[in-house]
Amino acid sequence: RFITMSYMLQHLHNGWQVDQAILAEEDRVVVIRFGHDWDPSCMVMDETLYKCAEKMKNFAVVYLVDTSEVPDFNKMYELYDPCTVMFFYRNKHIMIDLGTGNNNKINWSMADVQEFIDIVETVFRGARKGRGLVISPKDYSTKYRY
Amino acid sequence: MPLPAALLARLKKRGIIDAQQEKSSEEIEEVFAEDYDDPIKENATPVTTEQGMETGDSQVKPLVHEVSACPNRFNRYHTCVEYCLKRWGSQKFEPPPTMLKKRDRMLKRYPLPEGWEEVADPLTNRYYYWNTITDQVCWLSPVHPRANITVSAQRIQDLFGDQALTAREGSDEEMETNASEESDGSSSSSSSSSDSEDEYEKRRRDRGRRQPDNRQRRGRRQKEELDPMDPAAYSEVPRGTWSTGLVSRGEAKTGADTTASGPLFQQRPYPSPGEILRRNRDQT
Repeated sequence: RFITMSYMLQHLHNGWQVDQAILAEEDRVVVIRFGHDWDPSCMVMDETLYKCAEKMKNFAVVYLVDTSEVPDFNKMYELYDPCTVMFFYRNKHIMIDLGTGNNNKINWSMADVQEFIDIVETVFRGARKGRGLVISPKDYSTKYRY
Repeated sequence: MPLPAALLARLKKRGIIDAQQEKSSEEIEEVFAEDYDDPIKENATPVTTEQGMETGDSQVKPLVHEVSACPNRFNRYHTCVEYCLKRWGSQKFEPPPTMLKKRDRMLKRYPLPEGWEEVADPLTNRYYYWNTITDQVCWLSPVHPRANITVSAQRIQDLFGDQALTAREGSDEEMETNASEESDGSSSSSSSSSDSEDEYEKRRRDRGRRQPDNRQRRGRRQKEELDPMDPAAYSEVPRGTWSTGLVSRGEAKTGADTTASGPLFQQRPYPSPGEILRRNRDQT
């Protein structure tokens, strides 16, 4: 009852932990959310992640990183959005063609659980085949939004 | 035949002719000329001895352009003096038989006009042709369609200094064309120059004149003009140097490969967190 969403998802508190968390996973996709727990868009994303985590525990693991607490990656990963989700598999960054032009990360918060699970599953299937770039099942380019 | 003043001065400077000898033109010619029949033996002999031999028959006589075998000759700052000739002897002229055959054939087709002499050049082991009146030279027979009649390089250097041959190629070209025009006029009696030859000559001349011009212009542009695509050309950015814009360590704004462009631009993965941590550690 007192447990918040983010509490169930594991936080990583420094760069070394991030590195080890990714290195430790042998055949699961590592989903890392960079942002702040107090950020509204991050809260939306965290809720989605929390709901997904149990369902996709066989092929993915989710971690949360506070970009103020762990600023090591801010520059290299260009973490200037309030909420950023990135995928890693076997210590390798996996890119997703979302149709937004930025293939490196999901830099908005997704509310739809199934959509997110589909993306992670696509990433997992592609990464297992050795692909560094997978194509998202849904196109998120703005031209379909309006 | 009177020698041009510049040549006379040079010969005097080198000590090849004396003041009293230059009165008779035939003698002057013989001073640096040698007997064609036995060039090797003649080359070895000093200048003074051959004078006596040559005064006998001065009608048809191939000449040898006398060059001392001085090893310092190719030094730009060295001028060969009489001592060089005495110490090192003169270069031997050894014509290869194939060259002789070709030359005989050429002379049969294009006989030398009046005033031209055949001179052997021991440096290249070839014959060149010398106009005794205008002091012009030519490697081929002057009536040959491809003949390039010029003032000798040595003479240009004497008149205009060293830079005349190296820096100002344009002026050289200019003189060359003037010379060939003159020769065309003088050798019209031999009537071997036709319209097609004139055209050929003109085209060659034009080409020669254009080339150094282009080269100069390009060189200047490299130095001064700005590439219109250079940001310095259209904005306030200062003009970059050689190393401006090169990627250096720790300067990257992103972990993605910044050199990827075009279709590769959206396929640039970030490095792994461990790699980033390593890079950050290296920087500090």
